[in-house]
Amino acid sequence: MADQQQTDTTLVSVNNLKMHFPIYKGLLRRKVGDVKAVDDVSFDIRRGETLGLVGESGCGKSTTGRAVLRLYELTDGMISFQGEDIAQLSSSELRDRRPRMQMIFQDPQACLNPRMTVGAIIGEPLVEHTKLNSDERNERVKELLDSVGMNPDFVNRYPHEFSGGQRQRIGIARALALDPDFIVCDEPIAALDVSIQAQVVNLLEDLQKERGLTYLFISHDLSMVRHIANRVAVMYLGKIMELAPREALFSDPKHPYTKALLSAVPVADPKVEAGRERVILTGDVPSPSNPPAGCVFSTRCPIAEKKCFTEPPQWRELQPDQFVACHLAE
Amino acid sequence: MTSASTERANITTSAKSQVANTLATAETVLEVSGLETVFHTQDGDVHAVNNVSFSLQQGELLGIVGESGSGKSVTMMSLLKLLPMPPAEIVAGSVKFDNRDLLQLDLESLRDVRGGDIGFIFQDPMTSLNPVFTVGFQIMEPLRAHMKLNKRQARARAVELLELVGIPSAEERLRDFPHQFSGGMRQRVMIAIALACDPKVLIADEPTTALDVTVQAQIIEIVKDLRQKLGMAIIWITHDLGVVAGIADRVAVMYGGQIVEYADVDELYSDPRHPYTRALLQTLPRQEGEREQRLISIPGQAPNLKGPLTSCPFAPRCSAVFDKCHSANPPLFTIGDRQKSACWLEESNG
Repeated sequence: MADQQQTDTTLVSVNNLKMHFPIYKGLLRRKVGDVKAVDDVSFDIRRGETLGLVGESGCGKSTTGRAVLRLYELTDGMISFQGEDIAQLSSSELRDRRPRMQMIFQDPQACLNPRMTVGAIIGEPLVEHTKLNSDERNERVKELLDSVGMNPDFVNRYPHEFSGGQRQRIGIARALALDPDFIVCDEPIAALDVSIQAQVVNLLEDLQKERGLTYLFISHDLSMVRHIANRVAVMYLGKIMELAPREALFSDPKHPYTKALLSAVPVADPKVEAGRERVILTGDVPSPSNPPAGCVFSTRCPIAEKKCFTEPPQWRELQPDQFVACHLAE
Repeated sequence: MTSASTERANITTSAKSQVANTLATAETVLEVSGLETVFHTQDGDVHAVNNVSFSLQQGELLGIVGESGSGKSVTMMSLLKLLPMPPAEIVAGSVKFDNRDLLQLDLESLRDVRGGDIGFIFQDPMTSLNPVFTVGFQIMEPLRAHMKLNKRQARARAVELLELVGIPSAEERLRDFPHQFSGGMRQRVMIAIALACDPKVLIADEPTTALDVTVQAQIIEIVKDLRQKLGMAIIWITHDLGVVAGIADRVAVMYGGQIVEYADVDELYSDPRHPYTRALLQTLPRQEGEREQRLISIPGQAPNLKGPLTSCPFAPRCSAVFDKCHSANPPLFTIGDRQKSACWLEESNG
């Protein structure tokens, strides 16, 4: 019964996802190794929820987001979307499923074609995937602009005429054009000013409520993830270290990396800052082409023991719904 | 481990109050008054810095907070005339440093100050280091130019500096090029270069913005530590209110090319007076306690600064706006001893 319910509510299920990029070197461009951007990652995204994916740059969070949408050919693993395995689908089969899954990009400057009008940008998915005529399309574009809080009369303007926050709204309108179920938001607010970030996050939340959207929200901003996500996955060097509901992760983190990450986030209150205990990690993230044996975090972990350096930790459920990959967490 | 870090936290708190005590008697090292910078562009003049005044005490850390386009970087670049002129022009103001007005100096004497008495750390450690020279060469360059050290002395000092900012096996790493360092390490190299000639003032322009949080925490620890050791005054530009809360003694909040609030760090966070500061603090999602149902956002967008300001630049987005805000730009009113706010609501207090 519980199993039945589980499959009913799961929208996206990722199992043992691996995404390795080959490194070629020398005169003959021989393959000398792999960058293990994502290495054996599994998680589920439930219908209607927001799963936050956090981590530092280079940890593989964006690669995971793109791989989930099958924007890459996977090295290994299975991705089921609405109960169907999409990992092995051909490109034409995938094309039929594309309207159901969309993406919002980080840089609103780079993801909009500067030579296309706003109307053409938002209307393009409609041209590709629907049979609407141009009047109907125009109508729909105006509706979409309205729903992201922009003036529908802007259809004939170009991206450069808008500010960063407005451009991000255009990107969101484009992602919404085909009425998707699932949107991967890849650092959607990282390029925006603090006062504009809140506007965009509120818009994403409103749209989720209205349309029942499911988000994979990729970000390095932990306090924003705490606000928007229902559950949070923490990545480090191509692996998920901890996956837990928001409250549990932020109030009682289990993995030493999560603890270090949370303690490094500055708090906007001088009194709190003065009395804070910080876990300062030493050193840098190792290269993903040659990750440490054993636990990938062992080289920087403040509590690492002998077996952490030799034996990779199991992915285990510590408490109901709280998963962790650490030998020592309890 | 826990007890050790608590101890360290206690040390930093007591050190902070020590700094606060010495501040009261410390002398002013840098005094900026009435600074105005204009960019002459094809579409007309952009007034990027409008009547900015502040002073920096010895050993003080002044945080400058603002969003992109608020004029915080241009202000600091103006101090040392690091802007391309034209199109930029510093139309008014003075920068008193060492009994001189930096804005009146000729280029030769200004070069002695840049990188000598005033060090600069830029935001992006990738683009501000020269990729074709070794790190050692780049650290030794200011030492040889400003302090007239010979090659061997400069080398010894460079090793010392790299050790100071926490780069392991410093001696060997002098021969490495910038691309062989990670982002955090590169920023440490930048700090080492800025510190090379024992500056009296260090200007750090978003030094941790391009870095990850855990690396940011490392860099902040280093800067706190160096402040204790070297005692220079620091101007730290950032858009992150959290970073400023942890390190600054005093904070200036900028909006629309001017300082809208200027206060000691505790007052700024416990009793923000300018509506913009208040709104900015409210938009941040909480990191502890109950999650807010909905984030408070500031409607509208930052002003474009074409033409001189004739009204409060924040008026179109302000929740407490009234008639006077649209007719005149408020000056900085003084509240209490050390807090200032550029808002007409404070007129009666000021």
